[in-house]
Amino acid sequence: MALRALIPSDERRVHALLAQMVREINEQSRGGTFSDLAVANRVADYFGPEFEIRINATGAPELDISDRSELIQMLLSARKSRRGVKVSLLDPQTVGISKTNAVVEATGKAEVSGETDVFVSELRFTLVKIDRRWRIRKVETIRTFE
Amino acid sequence: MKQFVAPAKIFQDRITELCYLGAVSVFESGHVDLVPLWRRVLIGRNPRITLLRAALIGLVCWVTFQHVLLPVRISGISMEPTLRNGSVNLINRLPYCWREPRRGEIVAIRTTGTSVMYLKRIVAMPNETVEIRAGRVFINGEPLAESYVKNPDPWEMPPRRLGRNEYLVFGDNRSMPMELHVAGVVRRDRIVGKAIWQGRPDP
Repeated sequence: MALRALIPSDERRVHALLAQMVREINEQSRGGTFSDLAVANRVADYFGPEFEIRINATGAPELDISDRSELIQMLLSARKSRRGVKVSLLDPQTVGISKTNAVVEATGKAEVSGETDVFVSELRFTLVKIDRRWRIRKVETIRTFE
Repeated sequence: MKQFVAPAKIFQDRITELCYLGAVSVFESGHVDLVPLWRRVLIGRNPRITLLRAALIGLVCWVTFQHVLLPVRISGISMEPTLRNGSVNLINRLPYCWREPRRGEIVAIRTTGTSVMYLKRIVAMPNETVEIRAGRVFINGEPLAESYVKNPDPWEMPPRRLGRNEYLVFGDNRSMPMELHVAGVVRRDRIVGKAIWQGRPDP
């Protein structure tokens, strides 16, 4: 038990990484461009050098990003324009894991303050281990309804 | 002249006084309970048994509300007017342990877990051919009576035969374009349970 706490398994590391990324995304904007840029860079660091994000959820804007600068731009504009968006990643399930690759499925939920509708989408994260650190390689939508 | 009061009398008076204050109880058998009333009400006569009882109640509540009756708060308008946005419902997981879901039932559909679920109504069953023409649902060529749908948008869907474990589910609010309505075909393993409150019957 203690050993498990000291040396977490890859599965726990991957889940912790995703949870940490969500915490960074939810970090309150202090209004300054530099602080926002720092947060956007920190979030972008969770992604590997080659990555792609393809999110297509009903009722939410479509996302198709595969470039780091594009991701930072998107995060910066989201931080500037958003009025209290809370993102959460619920029920992460590890679908497959090896020493260098992992696939995790989770339910992404975005709540905009003042709006009744909640954007929900099932997401599949493909992660790779680069230099002993897990990085996100791909984020895609899973269709709940076919 | 000195009055001598027997020690037993003093003890009896003191007990009577404490009885009035609710600090002790004297039973018909003569047994005196020295546990104060407030403590008996709050903790019980035997704290160990009370603790055990509380733990048992907690366990029963946890099992019930985690695995049998899942409490949900409805967020969104897709099931209106049957289920209102912000209302609370319970998802009963037991019915589908011994029978399959039926047409017309409002069911909960899980995502990767049960933290977020969709509440939808079963419209078509496995192995059925379903088609939508001008907002009207046809099952195996026969129109489906849906009194719960008010002001439907003219949805169109070409005929589709459902698979062995597939169900077609829709929300009751079909006043929006079909592309904006989160619903469709789900596999049986995604159906978690049946909503306890199935909405108000039609007037």
